[in-house]
Amino acid sequence: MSTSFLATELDGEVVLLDVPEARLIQVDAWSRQAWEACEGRTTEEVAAVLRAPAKRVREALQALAGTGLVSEDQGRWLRAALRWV
Amino acid sequence: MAAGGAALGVIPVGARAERLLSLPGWQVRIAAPEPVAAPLAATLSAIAVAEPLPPLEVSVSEDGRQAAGTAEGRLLWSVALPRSGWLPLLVGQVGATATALLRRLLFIHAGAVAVEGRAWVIIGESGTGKTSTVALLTRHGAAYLTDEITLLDPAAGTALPFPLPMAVKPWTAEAVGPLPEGSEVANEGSVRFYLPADRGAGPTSIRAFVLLRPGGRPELRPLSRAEVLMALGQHHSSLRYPHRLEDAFAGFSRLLRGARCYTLTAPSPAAAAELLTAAARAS
Repeated sequence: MSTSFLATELDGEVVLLDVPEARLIQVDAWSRQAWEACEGRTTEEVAAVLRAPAKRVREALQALAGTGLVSEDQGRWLRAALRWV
Repeated sequence: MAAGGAALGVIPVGARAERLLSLPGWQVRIAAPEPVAAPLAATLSAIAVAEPLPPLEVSVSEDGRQAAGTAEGRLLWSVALPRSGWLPLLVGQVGATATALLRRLLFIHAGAVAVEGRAWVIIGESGTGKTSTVALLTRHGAAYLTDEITLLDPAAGTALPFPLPMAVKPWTAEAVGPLPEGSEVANEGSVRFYLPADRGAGPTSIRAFVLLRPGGRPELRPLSRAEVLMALGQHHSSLRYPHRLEDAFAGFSRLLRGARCYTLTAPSPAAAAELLTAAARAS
């Protein structure tokens, strides 16, 4: 996936710059955990890693997918690459 | 033809004049009817830009109704001048041009003062009382950096003076009362351009970013740096320029890491200034 996102961490909170869309995205702590755990996993596998309900994980990942931060391919989640600043 | 009174809404025209302002970091050439050129030159004369900018040419038509700004052979802007309020409009265009020409420094639409050698950057939408708050802080001993355009050096973690005069509107004067020691350099329409005598002379290490929210009970409370960065995305700042987007994001992140962040609610600029003065002296 392309690196269209810049990321910065401020006091444990993450803010992303979506460069092509010229928009900032604030990622809350829970969404960040889901994002970090999702690479190559199914929703159920992520839920197992996070010990969280699958419904909650799916909602978080779908919200992230709406911004382009993750995508789903054959039931497995893929993370967009970030450039940290 | 003589200049008309602002109350009549007459645009001054007359013999054309050329003024060349060799400001620190920036050369501004003004070609305009003398009654336009003189107050515009006076209003811009204290500007200093820490990053050298390409020369700007401001030309105003003989009838005083159109103005244009050109730099590096490119027409940057062209505006129709109103019968009243043409000077604030021109000053705003020149200030905005400076922010667009920056290559290294960042800017925020914000006021800024220095208290005991540390800068307090006051971010707020137009009409939230930035100028009034800055004027009151300056009257109470802070050094004036700007009331409108805060320049920031992300590498050094500093705010830099951009001393356009304060644009004192009628409601500003009412909220502030006596202005800080200084001088009125021009006036037009209902705006007085007033330059405080006590001005910051150079880069000032940033103590805090403050989001000004008028109304509510007086309160200065910590705000997360992420929230402030998100707020910067909604204000006029270097993030608005596509060519600066990535380095502005990185630069603001760096600046925020080295500063405190607050949100300030207050029912009046006086209450806001009182809270900020107390916080600045306590920190």
